[in-house]
Amino acid sequence: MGKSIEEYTLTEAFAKIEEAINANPGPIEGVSTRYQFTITGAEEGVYQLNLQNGKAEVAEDDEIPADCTLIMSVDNFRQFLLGKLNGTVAFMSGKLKIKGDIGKAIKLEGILKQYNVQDHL
Amino acid sequence: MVSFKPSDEEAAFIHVAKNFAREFIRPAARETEKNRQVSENIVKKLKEAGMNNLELPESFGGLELPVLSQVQILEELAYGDLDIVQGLPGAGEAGSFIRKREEHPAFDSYKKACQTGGIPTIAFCHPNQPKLTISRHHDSYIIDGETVPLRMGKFADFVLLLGKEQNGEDVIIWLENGSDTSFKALDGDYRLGLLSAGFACLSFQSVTVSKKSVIACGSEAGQLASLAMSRIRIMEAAKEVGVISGALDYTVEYTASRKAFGSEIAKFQGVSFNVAQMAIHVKGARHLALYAAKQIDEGTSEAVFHSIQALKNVHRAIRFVTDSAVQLLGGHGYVQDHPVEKWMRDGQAQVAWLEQEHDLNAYAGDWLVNKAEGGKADDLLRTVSTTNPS
Amino acid sequence: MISYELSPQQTQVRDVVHWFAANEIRPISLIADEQKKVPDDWLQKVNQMGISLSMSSFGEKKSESKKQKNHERQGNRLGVIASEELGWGDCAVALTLPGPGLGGPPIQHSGTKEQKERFLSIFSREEEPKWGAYALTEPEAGSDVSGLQTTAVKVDGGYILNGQKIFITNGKRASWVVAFATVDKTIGRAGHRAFVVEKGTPGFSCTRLADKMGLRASETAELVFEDCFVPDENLLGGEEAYQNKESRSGGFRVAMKTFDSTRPIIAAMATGIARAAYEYTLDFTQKELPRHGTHYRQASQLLAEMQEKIQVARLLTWESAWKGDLGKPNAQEAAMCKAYAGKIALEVTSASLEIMGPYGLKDNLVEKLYRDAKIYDIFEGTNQIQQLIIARHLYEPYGLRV
Repeated sequence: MGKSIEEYTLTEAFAKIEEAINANPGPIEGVSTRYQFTITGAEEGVYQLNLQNGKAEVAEDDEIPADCTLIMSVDNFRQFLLGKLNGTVAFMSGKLKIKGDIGKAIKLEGILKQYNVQDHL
Repeated sequence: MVSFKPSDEEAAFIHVAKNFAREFIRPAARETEKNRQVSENIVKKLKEAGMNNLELPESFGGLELPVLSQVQILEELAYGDLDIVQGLPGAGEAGSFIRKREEHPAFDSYKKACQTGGIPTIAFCHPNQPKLTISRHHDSYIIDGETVPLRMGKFADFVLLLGKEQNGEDVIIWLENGSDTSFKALDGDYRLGLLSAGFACLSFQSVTVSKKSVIACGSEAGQLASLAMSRIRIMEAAKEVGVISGALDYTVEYTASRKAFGSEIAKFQGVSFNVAQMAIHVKGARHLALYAAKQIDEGTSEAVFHSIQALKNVHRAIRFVTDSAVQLLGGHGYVQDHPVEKWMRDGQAQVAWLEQEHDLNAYAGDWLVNKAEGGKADDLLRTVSTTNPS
Repeated sequence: MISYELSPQQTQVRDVVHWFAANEIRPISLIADEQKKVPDDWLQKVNQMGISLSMSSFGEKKSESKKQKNHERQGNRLGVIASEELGWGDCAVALTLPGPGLGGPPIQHSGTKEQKERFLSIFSREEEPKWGAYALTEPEAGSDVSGLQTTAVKVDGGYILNGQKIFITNGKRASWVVAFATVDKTIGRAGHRAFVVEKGTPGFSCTRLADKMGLRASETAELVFEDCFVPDENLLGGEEAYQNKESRSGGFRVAMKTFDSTRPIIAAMATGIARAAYEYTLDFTQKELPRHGTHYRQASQLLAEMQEKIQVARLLTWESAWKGDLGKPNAQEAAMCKAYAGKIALEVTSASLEIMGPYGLKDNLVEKLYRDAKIYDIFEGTNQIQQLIIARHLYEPYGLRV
């Protein structure tokens, strides 16, 4: 384990997510969803995580419309990755905003929970 | 954000209206009913308080208030006495039509009169007129027959007529009581309630109306009627809420002091539970009126439906609450030493003169089961506002 | 300004909870009713999703609302908005969702800092699902709480409880129960105390689960205290809370205060039940009834009345929650929305069955909604009790106690 999560840039963090999922695609089997993360705050950016045919692909744009968009601050995003932010509670408290298919957003948390992102950092 | 707090401006209006109702309206109620007309003094005082012209556009010297604000003011005024509120001269229901068509040249002379201070009285002739025919002859219409009793018919200088001509097309006509387009108010024996509200049937003897007095016809008339009727319903609903709010307060006060079997009758649950149910009716009716008013001000597509629901709800509430008030005052409720018997009579007249509960419920039901069939909702709204249910 | 528009957060809460109700709750609704039990694996799954039922400060944490002083509190409004959706999904399943449930508010309102930490922090999605419960009702003390028979006798280091509690939602599975008892029957309300009794405490047991007309998936337990020792630190609010002269009737106040926030929640669930029946019946009417027949017209008119009642119930409930959020007294409004929503939930489900006729007897969601709805006119204070509370507030300005 090298750096702590705060030291990663968003782009690096997304690369790690992609890496972690592709190393073990079991949990995304049968999932076909394009997620978009609109990150706000000190570090901003729009990322898409496309889960398709058992593969994860991260892109830094929003040209293709996503099935579901999650909008959150960079701090909350880091907590979310570490599994420290309860997605459902975050939805309820307005820390996390969803546009599009709510069901897919809720399922994403279940998927990410099966990866210990920290192990890949 | 969901909130139930009136704006500061509304709160100021409510304050003035509340005081006015208690200071001038309530004490004058019996006298006004006896005279069968609201006194000039009250009209003058109301004008001084700036509350005599809420709905008309500013170009007509009106306040042009949102429906939401008017609802709150009207409730307070009617808390004093519904009969007096309904007997106030002015534009009445027609104000909502003028508000939505203020540029129409037919209203020019009325506008001029309003700007110089006096607001002439308009009677509104709604579509439910079994003895009145409207027929079209080239560019003009001929109106013949007799209306049902119309509010302020007795005192009207003008009539705004919403009806259907014989081939079924909607039409809205503006009539001034002049030599060529005359109508006559017929005497009648009115005893039930709202006795100061100038109810009278109007008689038309083949009156010819030229094209320039037609405010709208066809689908345009349907849409205008739908908008205006929604506003009218909500304001009528607000007035009824005022009555039941007054009746509730009066009943609470009476039953808190009246004793029987050695204790205040409020301590008997047969009494206190009835009062609690009255309170729920008042609050529920008020919520629906405010909610519908908000929908209208925001111009939502469901505004018409909610105006129907609100009026229907309070039609039922006013019967229940005013009847309960009389019942809980017992014999004292039945005699005229207390105002509750009058509120019950006024309430019963109020639910009868414009749109009745059963019809409103039929409109609302049609709207609900048919709206899902795309595109039909608008047609239905028009039907709802201009005809009786089939 | 008067507004009925949901804020973005309120909209999101409604949408998320509705999604959950439609996709997770509805599919198990009739099964759970039949089995008289919410399936354990379902509860596990839901707990892992982090979904729980707390009747207090929904979607807000105290620390957060303090941080943002200018921020308007909206926990009560979020609570009723979410609860309507849960009631729409299935009210029995909703009442079984893991979390402190009805036991949450008394601890939140009256617990010491240490008690809040100890009892409210046990709910975690990382662990097994857990529940809290609220035990007030007794065989001889239902609506009239002042007739409490369960006794608490002070001994060294704590109290000895003896008595029986009935109709306790989640009473058997709960990790702790907020139980009310009296230290002195002769002084009425002043003698009332609230205790947090933990599962497994010797002398505390569940003797029976009641079979019911509806709400069958929800556990309704009968609890018994037999010389049950409860330590001082589990006296809700600590001794000080009952010493203070101002709060002489501390235990009673805990019990009553709770209702001001739980009644709107219960009213919102009842509204949700009514809405579920209404939507089902509207759909039935449009699809199954021949057009232009009398039956169709009568159905449409009944539906209009149903919609009107639901709308009134919702607005009454929203108003009481709004007042609660503003920190204004809302006991009267809470009683009004509970009385109204509880009553119309039954009327609306009954009218739905009327429209569907014999179709309502078989494979029908609404017959279940009807059986469920009746309890909403009874628990958390019967309709009559709500009317009494409303009347008391109406006569208060005249110095009359009814």
